[in-house]
Amino acid sequence: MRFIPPLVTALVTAFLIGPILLSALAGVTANWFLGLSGGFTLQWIGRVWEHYAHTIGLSVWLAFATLICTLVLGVPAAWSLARSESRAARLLEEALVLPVAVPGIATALGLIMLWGAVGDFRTHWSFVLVGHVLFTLPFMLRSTIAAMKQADLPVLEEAAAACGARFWRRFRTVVLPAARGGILAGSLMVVALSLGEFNMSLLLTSPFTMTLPVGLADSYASLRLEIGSAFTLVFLVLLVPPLIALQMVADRLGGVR
Amino acid sequence: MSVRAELRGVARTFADGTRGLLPTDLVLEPGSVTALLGPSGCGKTTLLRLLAGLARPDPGGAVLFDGRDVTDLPVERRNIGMVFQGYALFPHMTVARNIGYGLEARGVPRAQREPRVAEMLRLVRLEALAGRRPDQLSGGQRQRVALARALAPQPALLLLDEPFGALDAALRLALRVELAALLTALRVTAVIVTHDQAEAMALGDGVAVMEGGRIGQRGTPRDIYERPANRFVAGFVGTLNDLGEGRFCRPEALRPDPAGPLEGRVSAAFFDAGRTRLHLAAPGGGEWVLELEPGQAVPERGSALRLALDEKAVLRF
Ligand SMILES: Nc1ncnc2c1ncn2[C@@H]1O[C@H](COP(=O)(O)OP(=O)(O)OP(=O)(O)O)[C@@H](O)[C@H]1O
Ligand SMILES: [Mg+2]
Repeated sequence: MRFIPPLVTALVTAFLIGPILLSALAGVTANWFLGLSGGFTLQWIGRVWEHYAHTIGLSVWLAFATLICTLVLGVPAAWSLARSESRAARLLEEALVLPVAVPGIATALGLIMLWGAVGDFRTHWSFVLVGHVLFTLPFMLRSTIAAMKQADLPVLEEAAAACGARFWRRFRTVVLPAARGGILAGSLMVVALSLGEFNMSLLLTSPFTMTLPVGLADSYASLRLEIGSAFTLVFLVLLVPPLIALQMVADRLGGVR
Repeated sequence: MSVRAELRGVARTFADGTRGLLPTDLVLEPGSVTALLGPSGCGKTTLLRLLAGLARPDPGGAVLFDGRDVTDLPVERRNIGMVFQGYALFPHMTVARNIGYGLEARGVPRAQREPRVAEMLRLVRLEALAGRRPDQLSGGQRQRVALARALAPQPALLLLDEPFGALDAALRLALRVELAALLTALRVTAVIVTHDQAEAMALGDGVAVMEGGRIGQRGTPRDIYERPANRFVAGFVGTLNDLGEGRFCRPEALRPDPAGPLEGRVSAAFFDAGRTRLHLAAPGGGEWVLELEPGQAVPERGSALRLALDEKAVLRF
């Protein structure tokens, strides 16, 4: 009976990873309908690069910009929410689940109604950035607030002040290190969510500002299956290593604390 | 180096209306060590935080350092050292960096920081643990790091909030002796909060007994013990025997004497470190406590015992 749990694990893993592997495999076969006997090729990946290099670059850039924005906005906001004792702060914290509960499409529509007519904003990459920041900021906030609350920050900050440290030194040397596990976990989420976000991006992007998941849908819809699959492969190669790396760092930090 | 600190009409009312401290005047002479003694919730931490600048006094109160009004000066600019009730060590920094933090914050360059940190590590005997993090230390070691962190920048005023709060009795005693020696050597103006009367008596040049948000009495430990201002103070700093009609006495004022004027019935006898503490049922229904000299015969439980009273030592409230 002892082999059942590992067997279940194996089956579930296969169920989860199977389709992805199949899809990725299709990207390197010469002709998917001929199967593996048709031979392997890298030409589809080349084609992906031709068609979507810009999309891939934009997505990476957007994920990076989203991360910067959520760090700059989220960490100080998390700090003031975590240390505030007002009811408003508690309510706001509860409200942080809202953007997750509201479908991305609804948020996107709201953004378009609000900003769609303002100059060239609609077709600029920063329009997508606004959406991504809106969508990911709550994740950064929640994970940072949790870490800050766990760290008993008010006491540590008072201790630092009693040692003679002014505000910025306290923030740099006490607040940030105390919350670094949460900030890192938040960053991991933000990058992954931004790279993979589809719902909202589908509406927010324009043909000039297409992001990776939208490009992926576009490639499956309008090009050969093999190209779409090759694109999937590129997507995985791009997304998985940084995810694993960040996960490892987060684990290490989590272990120390 | 050490400062003359003064509270002038300082009170503190919390947001919910709780009066943490009633209007209080207090002068701490330069280099003096004051023990702040009182039961839980009487306002000891509140008073300390007002001195430190971690809390603002209600309008009208003023905090003065060497005659200068520092009421509006934030804590980080008052040049104080503080040991918090739970130590509040920085968990992500090594022992050495914790100790050097105050110097770092004052802009002391690394080259001058290192010898000072080494000196402090020697002082609190933690040289071997300089590279550890707080969670790898025992309670007593943490306490010493907190003390070294507060002392390293040579603050003008040292504030210790129940520095031995979480430690066991033996360790408390050992650290108390160490701290007393340190404070004598440093001559820094210091306030030590405690709710242990023996600790307050041993550490303070002066003791301030607090009660319900105010200072009930200030004086030398001997003064307060022998001439307490009121019944609360008397009961808090030592055992008090109620002789009836507003007359009280300390255990030392009673001794067994067959010709004595008082009589009680022995209810219990406790042997403690060479002495025997005798509990008697008093005729009025209360309880008297006295101590027997070493070697004196211990009377049997339930037997009647006549007592002599040192009339000069009788307290009246
Ligand atoms: N932030 C606060 N808001 C409201 N009341 C408070 C606050 N902090 C303290 N108090 C109240 O003020 C009074 C004095 O508190 P304080 O912390 O000074 O007591 P303490 O003498 O240090 O007690 P302990 O020995 O238990 O540490 C208490 O009644 C406490 O409940
Ligand atoms: Mg206290």
